[in-house]
Amino acid sequence: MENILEIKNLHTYFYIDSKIIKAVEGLNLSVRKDEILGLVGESGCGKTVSMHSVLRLLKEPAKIVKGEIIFNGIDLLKIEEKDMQKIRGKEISIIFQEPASSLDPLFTVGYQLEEAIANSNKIKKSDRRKIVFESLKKVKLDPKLKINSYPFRLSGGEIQRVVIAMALINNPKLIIADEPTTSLDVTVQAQIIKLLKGLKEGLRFSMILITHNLSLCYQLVDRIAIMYAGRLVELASSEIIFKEPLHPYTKALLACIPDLKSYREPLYNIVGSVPDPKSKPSGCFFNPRCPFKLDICKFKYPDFIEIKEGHFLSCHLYGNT
Amino acid sequence: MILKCDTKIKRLIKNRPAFFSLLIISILYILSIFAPFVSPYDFDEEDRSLSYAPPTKIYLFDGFKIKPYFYKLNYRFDEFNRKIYYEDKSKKYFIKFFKRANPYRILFFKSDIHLFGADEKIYLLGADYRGRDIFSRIIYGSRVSLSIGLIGIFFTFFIGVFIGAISGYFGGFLDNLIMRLCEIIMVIPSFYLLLSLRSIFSYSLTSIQIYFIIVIIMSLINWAPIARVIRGMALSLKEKEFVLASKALGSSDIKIILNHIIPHTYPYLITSLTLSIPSYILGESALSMLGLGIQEPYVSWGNLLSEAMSIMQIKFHPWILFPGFFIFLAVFAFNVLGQSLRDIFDPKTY
Amino acid sequence: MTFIGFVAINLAPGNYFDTLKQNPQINPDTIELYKAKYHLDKNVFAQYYYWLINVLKLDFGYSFSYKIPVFSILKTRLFNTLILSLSVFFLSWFLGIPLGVFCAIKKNKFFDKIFSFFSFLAISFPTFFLALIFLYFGSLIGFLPLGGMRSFNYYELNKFDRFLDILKHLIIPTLVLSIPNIAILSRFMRASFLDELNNKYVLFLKAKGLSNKKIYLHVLRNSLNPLISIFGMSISGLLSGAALTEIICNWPGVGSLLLEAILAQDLFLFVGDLLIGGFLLILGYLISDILLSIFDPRIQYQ
Repeated sequence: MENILEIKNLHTYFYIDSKIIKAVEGLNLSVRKDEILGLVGESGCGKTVSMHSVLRLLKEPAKIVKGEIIFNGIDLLKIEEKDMQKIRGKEISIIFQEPASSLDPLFTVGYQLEEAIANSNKIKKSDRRKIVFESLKKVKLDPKLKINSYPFRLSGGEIQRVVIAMALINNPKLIIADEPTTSLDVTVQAQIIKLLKGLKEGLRFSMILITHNLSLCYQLVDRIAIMYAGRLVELASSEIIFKEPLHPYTKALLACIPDLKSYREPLYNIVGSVPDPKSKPSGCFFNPRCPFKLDICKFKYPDFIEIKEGHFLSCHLYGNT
Repeated sequence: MILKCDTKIKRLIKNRPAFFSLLIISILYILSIFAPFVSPYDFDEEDRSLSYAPPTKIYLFDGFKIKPYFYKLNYRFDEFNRKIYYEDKSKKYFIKFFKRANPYRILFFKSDIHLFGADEKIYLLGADYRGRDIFSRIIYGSRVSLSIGLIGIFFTFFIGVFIGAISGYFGGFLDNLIMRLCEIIMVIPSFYLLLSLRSIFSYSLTSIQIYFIIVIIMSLINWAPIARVIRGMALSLKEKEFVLASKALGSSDIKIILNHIIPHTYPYLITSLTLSIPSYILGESALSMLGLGIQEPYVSWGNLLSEAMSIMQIKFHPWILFPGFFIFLAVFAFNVLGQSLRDIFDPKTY
Repeated sequence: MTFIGFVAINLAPGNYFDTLKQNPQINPDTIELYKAKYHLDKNVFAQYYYWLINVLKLDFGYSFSYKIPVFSILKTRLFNTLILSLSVFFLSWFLGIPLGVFCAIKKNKFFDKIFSFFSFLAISFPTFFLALIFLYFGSLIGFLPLGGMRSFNYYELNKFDRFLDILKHLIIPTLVLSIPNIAILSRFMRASFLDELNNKYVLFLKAKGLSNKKIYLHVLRNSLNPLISIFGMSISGLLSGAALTEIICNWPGVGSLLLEAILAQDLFLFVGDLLIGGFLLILGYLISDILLSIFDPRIQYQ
């Protein structure tokens, strides 16, 4: 299976007030062709920062300090900005969390979609129009009605559809979806998920789905990568993650999902809170909260190893020393 | 959020622009208070033979010693019958410091010592058409121009704050009425309003009366924007809990306004009052320059510039423009101070 | 506003008619005629009422000092002021906005810092003093006409030369009025631009793969909106500042007329002038409202 994207040892830090915040500390992740990879973790664990690093969307005071991001054989961190612009929106697209603030309020939906078309100046106006029409149909919006609307006229769900249309319009190889449903109503969420599923079946693209909602992964995702405090702790197919999770953090996350059968029982929650990025614990980052911790967990960070085929783990409990 | 007083003062001193502007302003006000001491001559001391004399050239070194001196001015007429001044290098006149000259009185304190002077007329910044020393006139003029700002904001403060607070606190019809009034005042171009209100009064009033009229007119114009903002603050503050608590304890409305609402407006007030002083200085200067303000023989910076209104005079005697620089300096200093105050009070920048 | 002006000039002691009466050349009967025609013998409110009615018929009354109908004076003066205002407007906006954007893009770099400092200086500089300094330097240079709007041989020149002549006279007043405007506009533009840059959609535009230039164009469009709002307010300031500058530069416009009318105690002239001033002001606000509704699709025009 080919890998369309390989992130190797990515380190992204924030330099604020003479302090260093290590948002992403040694991330190793690959995305295969035509798969949906779920990137799961609590708020602040570095999911968004790592994905923004891929597209080099970060601004001061964030800096990509180390690492390689190989896409189609090219290291994205080494190319020029203008070459990067050729990749953004065309080979790799991204969908942001809040749909409403993704669109420029002063321009129509149609205009912004046209803008997204690659090399739009080389395509005839009538063709461009057609492309925009098609893209709106793909996301189940009525093109005639919506193409000349302004963003403020659309509901949240509709805007997110437009954003998805924009992400697809150039047939990208990889789509990064950063919590695409988090800010939407539950019913709308379901619609968007259904839409994404349908699109995936029809077209061919890989997707990194960032979410803190494991149940979302259950519906959509092929493999799941669990992230904690800037590093990956477990990576496996979603079947294995749900049936035989190994990392204590993964187990805890799964336990947090409310179960309809255990109605009225107190919800499980993980003791403690996510570490302050300015001062992470020594050894394994999760050790202060881990119910199974060993002595070695306090001193040595466990290596990220493939313990079974396709199942990667970073934990001392499974003989990783 | 109101920060503690001493932190604010500390920040004020640390902030370089603020410190320098405060320094300049203090120097200007000290100069104006001690005007008679600093100026070598009275503001109406004339010498028609030296009309439009240029600024005196001062030589710093006499031999190897630092002993500033200058030469007396003589003149002849050129082909257009204009006066051309040249130095009579026959005799040197030394500048004497703390020289005794015209007696004067500052408040209760009499003296006749001036900061500097000489046996011949020394014009630091040149002379006007009547031969009066422009430097002295500028210093005396600062008394009027600078004081108008201070007295003006005094009135503006009272009118603006009280009307604004009452308007915001009580709301309703009164609030609407006052706000419409504010809007009307704010909409009219300030200069038009100034001229119109000034024209109500006759032209033959004494300068003192004109002074107060100008102050009152400008206060009437300037209170509006302040009242608006205060009213907005009062509006939001009156919903806060400590106001309700105060009411529950039985405080009267007036007490609430005085004790709770108005103190919260101090940061904004200090900043905007500081920033409104320039408009007083400029307004008075503009009026006086046009002849509608302070009249002869009293001096104000605007008054001094009225001579400069004629192009011919500026071309040949550009030193009559000096009062303008002082206006600029004062306005600039107050603007810088106001901006810095705004930065200091804004919790986001610190 | 006109009412205030009307009352104001009436309260001013000294009736022009007294001066006229002393002028032996004018027949006292004519004075009585004027008095009756313009109802000046009645009280303040009645006068105002009659005046208002007349205004609606475009009869602004008769100027005592110029001895011609006020309306004709106002027409020319209005035209002159408009020429000046429009040239200041164009100069300020064409220079101010690009400079502001440039400063925003090169934020905190050398140009930005220097320009901000000079802008601050320019704003604090009293306009009338600036005018005086310009006139001084103009007199040194020698070829720029100083003051007035037309040279004395204006009427001998052909059309094109007339145009050039007015242009030459425009230079100093326009520059004087434009400099503080450019300073204010560029600062505002810079702030607005930087504010917009912080919006989320900008990041999305970058993610779409748009070049920096295109992103800046988007941001520019958005940051112009708040500027249009202050357009109305700047008209007010423009009129205000223009009046003083007109007086100093001897530009025969609506502003300098105000002073003349007051000094001459010319009732109708003064009040008519105020009306025009007010009219221009309201026009300014109206234009800015209309512009805003055109440029911002979120505002509906009812």
